[in-house]
Formats: sequence, structure tokens, C-alpha cells
Amino acid sequence: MTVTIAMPQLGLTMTEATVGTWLKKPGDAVRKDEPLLSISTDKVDMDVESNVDGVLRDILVEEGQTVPVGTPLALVDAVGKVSSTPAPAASPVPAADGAKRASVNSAQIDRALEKDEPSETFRSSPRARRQARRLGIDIGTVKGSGPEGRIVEKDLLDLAPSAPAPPPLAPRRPVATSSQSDLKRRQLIAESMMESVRTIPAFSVSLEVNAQKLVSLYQDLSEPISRSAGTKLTYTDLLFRALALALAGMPAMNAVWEGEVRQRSQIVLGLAVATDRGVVAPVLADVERLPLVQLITRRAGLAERARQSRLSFTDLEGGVGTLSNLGMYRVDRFEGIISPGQSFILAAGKLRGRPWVEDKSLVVRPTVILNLSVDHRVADGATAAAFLERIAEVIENPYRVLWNE
Amino acid sequence: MPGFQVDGNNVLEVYEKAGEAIERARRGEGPTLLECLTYRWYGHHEGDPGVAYRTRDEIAAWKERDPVKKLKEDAIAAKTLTAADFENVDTEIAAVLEDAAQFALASALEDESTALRHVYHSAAD
Amino acid sequence: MSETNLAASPAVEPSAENQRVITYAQAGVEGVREEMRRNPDIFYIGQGIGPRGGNFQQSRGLWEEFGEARVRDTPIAERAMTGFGIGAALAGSHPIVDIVFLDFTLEAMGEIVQQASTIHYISNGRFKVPFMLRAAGGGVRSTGPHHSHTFWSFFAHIPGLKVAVPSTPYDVKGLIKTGLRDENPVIFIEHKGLYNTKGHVPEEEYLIPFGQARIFRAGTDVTVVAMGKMVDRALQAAEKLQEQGISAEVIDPRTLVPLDKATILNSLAKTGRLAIVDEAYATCGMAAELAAIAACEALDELDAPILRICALPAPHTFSPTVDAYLVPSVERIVQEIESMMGKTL
Repeated sequence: MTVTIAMPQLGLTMTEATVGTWLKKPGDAVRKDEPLLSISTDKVDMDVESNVDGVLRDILVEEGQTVPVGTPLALVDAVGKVSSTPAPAASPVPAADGAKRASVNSAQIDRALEKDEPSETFRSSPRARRQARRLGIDIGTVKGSGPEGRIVEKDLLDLAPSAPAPPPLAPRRPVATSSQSDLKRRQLIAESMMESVRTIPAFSVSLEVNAQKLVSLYQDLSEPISRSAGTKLTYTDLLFRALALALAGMPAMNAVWEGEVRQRSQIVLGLAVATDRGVVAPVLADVERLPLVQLITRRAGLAERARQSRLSFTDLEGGVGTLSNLGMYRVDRFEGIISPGQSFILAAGKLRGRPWVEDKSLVVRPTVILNLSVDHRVADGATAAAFLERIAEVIENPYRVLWNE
Repeated sequence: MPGFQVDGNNVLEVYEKAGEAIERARRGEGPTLLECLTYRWYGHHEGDPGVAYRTRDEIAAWKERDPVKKLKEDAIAAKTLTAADFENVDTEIAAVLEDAAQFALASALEDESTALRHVYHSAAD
Repeated sequence: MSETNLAASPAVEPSAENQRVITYAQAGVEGVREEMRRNPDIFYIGQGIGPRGGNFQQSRGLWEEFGEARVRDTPIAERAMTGFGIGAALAGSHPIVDIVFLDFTLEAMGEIVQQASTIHYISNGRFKVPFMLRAAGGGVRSTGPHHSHTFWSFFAHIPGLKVAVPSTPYDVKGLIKTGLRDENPVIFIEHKGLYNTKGHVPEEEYLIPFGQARIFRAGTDVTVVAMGKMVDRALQAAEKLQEQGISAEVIDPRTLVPLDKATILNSLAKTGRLAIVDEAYATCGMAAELAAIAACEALDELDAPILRICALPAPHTFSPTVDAYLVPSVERIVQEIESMMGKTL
């Protein structure tokens, strides 16, 4: 029996992808779940796996070609019985974060599109299923703690921060890093930025904020919290939280333009991460209320996966705005470009001592200059100004970042 | 349609006029309107003193025209019934009421398990 | 005070010491009185609402102030009273028809549903029916099968009617005033068991906009939507749940039509769980409607099946024990939410 391997749809907005490298050639034996090829989109790179044991018969799309979702990529002659039901959880260990997320087998995708849960005997809440999709966790491997063993959101959140780094087992070929692939990525970033400039009527507001209390909070917190989180607290974490807290108090800004203003119920924010292959902005949900230690752990994990090009689509979708911090450079102020699909970007420059007027006298205070660019279709100047002011207020009175509410 | 105003506190008058109206209806001559003028001595419900919207004098005046007392006097005057007959009736009714009250006071409050019984008829009832 | 200022008045009473405290019934009287002074087109009819001041004292003093021309007792004929009120509204007045017991609105249902709710629509917007139907629902002290109902969902079901269900003295005054400035038929449903409850009510004027829910208590684990007398029970239940580490957010929609879906769904997005406490029946009731809204518009927010804590499906009884059993109690609310949280399994 011959099985068709098709271009999977890996996110709501994915319509097409480019075939990167074929890892197998016609005639090669392939095992179920073994990667056949790598693909890349404007957002991520990932492997497509075989869903059967067999022999690769034909390659239908050459390297470098971009094809729509659903396009047949290869034919595999299956050996033995082809099961149409999902395999039992392959490993007794919960799927490892990065690895599981970056590789998707197309048969799984087909099944997922047919039905959420074909034949599982476990129960899970819709909210838990959404969280599983976001975190890239196979819900079949999760133990439920709700009524009648139902899997609830907490079960996934408990799992997420402790998910280990990609497992040492099942070593994978490193993702192709050919210059061709880099060029493609650059091109995709270029298209995305052009789309933003073309379609989003953006404007900016900016201000300078006294960050003295932020600095002292950072200094007090840095060591104990870094020890507890196992990763270093950064000013970016505090700014990210400040942005989310301000947003929580300003539902009008938690909205995007989709032909009309669509307000979001959850707070999902992107964080611009520079990688050697270009900038990428993965998202985090619930930034306003995650315990600070979790926020740091997740931010660090996300940034790390971004640098390794191991982000999944769920890491990139659903953000309403992005934080871009270039404070590590000697940049006083700059303006960001809003990601298409989002409605604002906050650009933070270097935190350093600057002249500041306090009680009619000139003093030196650590300050940071914030620039907020906003999609004018979503919000007007006054709203943007009020939002930026709220952000500034949290930075000036930063102890709010410590509690969730 | 003929209509009559009658003294609603005069049992015999009500009885007589109502009887005529019923006869007339049975003869196929149609309905009759009877307006029986009477009065509610007490409040609208238990706990309503009933004096906020009418005077105590008004209530007292109507109590003077107690229909039961009037029936009793008329019946005794007409020698239809004796005072003893009325006493027997009063005693009998008092006993029925006392029994009912004692039964209610001695009974346990209704059990919750009965709450959903008899919402629908079923053969098991 | 201008209307602009009124519209901006706080939706929740500010808390401060030494504020005036009056009853729910008095708050309603005050709201009606202020509006009757302001608008000479308002008149008030009903059974026993004149010299008697209303069965629940809900119109006390109005007859004395405004006289027989504007506050008048009617015969026991709900359909006639309601039809009369609708007609007067069409002719330019703004009547309040007080049915007193919500149960007896059934006698006037044809007028309410077939006439009041439709006339503006079928006249292509040329006629309007600024009319308030006032009545009290809920069981209290063994009022039995004919005087205890809470069926507000009947009215919420009908397009063209607005439905307010205040649960505090503050809300009664603010909402009844808003209702009397609305040019639509407004069904104003108070709760018999709340008339004697007391709370802070400012002496000055204020309006509470329709369609603005009130968050009585913030919480993170479960959203509890309650109406009428159940708001207080839900709050008591929330305190008990807190002792077990369950943080309940308690929301009163205050008006069922228009309904503040955003506040409820935003809360649900936060908590992931929705429980509705309603003294009315579950079947086809407001709890069913709210559950449907959550399932249709926020399925992905749900971390547990939606919980409806409602009156059990039987007529109300005179028996105090059985009637207390039929209506959601604090204990039942606590117990059902615990099992929703997986705490009692």
C-alpha cells in the first residue's frame, strides 16, 4: 500500500511552506516517525516525519520549492499493516518540549483535523486542550487531576515549566542551515515587514520614564529569583510584565484589527528575540498573571528555542503586541514595526543615567525611553497615550509586578 | 340581564335571591347578576392588620352586622333551630379545628425526600 | 445634575463610613419618587399600591405625595391593568404597572408579549411603549406554589422587552430610575426576600446603566453568576469556598436584557470555570442561556463542565423544609462548586 505524505498545516495562519532538505532519497527505507524532510515557513523550521514503516518511493516536490498546505510531498510504500488509529503514546516519558513540538507527522495532523480526539479514553476540558496546543504537549500523555480524572488546564501548566530540554535520545539531524535557507528566512522577514508597512497605519507615542525603583527592585530580586528560577532575571522580564499589567488594565488595547476591532479575552504578548538567522517574536500567554518565576523560566525557554529555530507555530500565534528591548545596546530610543496580525509594539531603549528634573532640581536618574507604535485602526492617539502612561506607571511603581491580579 | 343588589351579610336573603337566579337559569332564561355587599374583617393575609387602608370604625361597623350572628338570631326567632342546636354545631366545629391543629403541631415537618413527588402522575402513585 | 453627569456616576456604590442605609423597598420608593417628580408623565397603578403603600411597602408614601391622579389602586385584573398601561404609554404617558407578585404577570402575559413587546416593531418604529411592569419574585416564608416564582427567563426570552433584576438597595434605586427613563417596555423584577434588606443608598440622584454587570467579589478559580437573592447566597458560598482555597468571582448581571456578556466571558477567560446560581428552574432558564453563551462563545475557555445551580424542578411548596430544599442553599452552592473543582471526589 502506498501512502501519500502531504504538506502539513501547522498553524491557523500557515498556508504554504518551503521544502528545505530531503533527508531521505527514493529507495531508502524509512521508519514510522522518522523525519523525511525539513520544511520552513516564514516563522519556523521543522521536520516532516513518515507515518508508516516502509520505503520512500517518490519525491514529488524538490528542495527550495514552496507549495500550499495539503500538497503531496512524497509517496511511501508501506510495509505491513497501516494503522489508521493513533499509536499509543510512544514513550512513557511525557513528550519532551522542543523535540515534540518541532516535528509533526502529517498523519497526526490529518487526524487532528478530522477530530480533536479520535479514540482516547481520557477526558479533557476544552481549555486544557487549547493549552496543550499552545504548549505543544500531547494531551494523551498527561495525567488528569480534575473530576473523574479529567485533564484540566493546571495539569498542563504544571507540566510546562518543568519540561526538560530536548532529550538526548532520538538524535536528530541538525536543521539545515544552508545559506539558501537563511536567505529564504531573510526574504520572509522582509515580506512580513513590508506587509506591516503596507497594511498597518501605525503611529508612535513615546516618553521617558524614571526607572530608579525598577532598578532597585531588580537588584533586590535578581539573585534570589534567579536562583529559584534557574535562569537569570532580566530587565526584559520586568518590562514584559509591566507591559502586560498595563494591558490588563486597558482592555481596549487588548484587541486586533480583523476587519473590525476584535477584543481578546486573554493576554498574549510577543517578545522580539534576535537570532543569528534574524529576528523572531515568540509569544507568551498570561504574562500579567504567571508567577514571576514561571514567567522567567518560560521567557528563557522560549528565547532559547527561538535561537535554536525550534519554535512551534503555537509559539508564534495569537499575540496582540510585542515587546522589543534593545537596551543591551547603546540605543536611546527606536521605533519598532508592528507584526502583521498584532496591534502594537513597545520599543525600549537603554536603561542608563540621564538628567531628570525632580522637585525643581536637576538630578541624575536611571531612565528608559519607551516608544509605543500602535495600529491606528485599533486605537486612537489618546488611547495609545493612556496605555503608554500606564506602562510608565508600572515601571515607576514596579512592585506590582510581584503579584498577579 | 337582570341584576340585584343584596345584603351580603344576610344569609337568607342571599339564599333566596341566589335560588331565584338559579331557577331562572335552569328555565333557560339566562344569567342574573347578584351583587352581594359584604366585608372582609381581617387583613389580606396572615400578618396584615388590615388597618392601614381603612378605619377601625369601619371595621367595627361591619362587625356589628355579623352574618353568622344574624342568621342565628333569625333562625331562633323563626323557631327553625334552637340555641342548643347552634351550640352543638359550634362545639363540633371547634373540635374539628382543634384536631386539625393538634395534628399539624404533632406532625414532623415534611421530609425533603418528598420534594419531587407528584410533579407528574405516575402509575406508581 | 445633568444627565451627562448622571451617566458617569459610579456603577457601584463608593464605600465610606457613615453613609445612609435604607431598605431595598425604600430604595425603590425613592427611585420612583425622584422620577415622578422629574417626569409628570409617570403614573403608578396596581393593587394595594395606593393608601396601603404596597404589599411590600414598595410604594409607601407615593399616594400621599402624588395623589389619586398619579397613584391609583386598581381592581384585581392584571390583564386589564397591563393593557391599560400599554395604551397609556402609546398615548404619551409613562406608566408603572405594579403586579406585586411576579406569579400574576402570567395573567397579563398576552398584553406583555403580544402587545408591549411588539408595537414599536410592527409600527415600523412610529409608536413606542415607555412602560414599566413592576413585580416581585422569589420565595419567602412559605409563600407556596402561587406566590414564589422567579421566572424572569420568560421575559428575557422575548425580543423587545428589557429585564432588570436588582439584588441590592443601591442597584434598585439606580436601575429603577434608568428603567423609568427608558422608552421601551421594562420588566422590573425585585425579590420579595430582599425588600427588608438594608444597604447604602446615596441620597443624591444616580443612574445605573442597563447592561452593566457588577462584580461583587473578585476571584480566580471559578466564575459564579448569580441573580436576585442568590447573589447574597453565592457570596456567602464564596467565603466558605475561600476557606478551602477556592477563589470564586461572583458576578450579578443586574439586567438580563441587555446582558453584559463581556464581563462574564472576561471573567470566564480568567477562571476557566462557570457556575450559575439561579432561584428559577434550570430548564430553559437564564442559567441555560448563560451556559449556552459560554459554550457558544467561549468553549476554549472552559476547564470544567458548566454548572447550573437552580431550583429543583417542582412547584414551590408551603412546607418550609421542602421549599428550602428546592431552592439553592449556601451549602448546596458550596458542595456543587467543590465537586466542580474536583475537590470532593
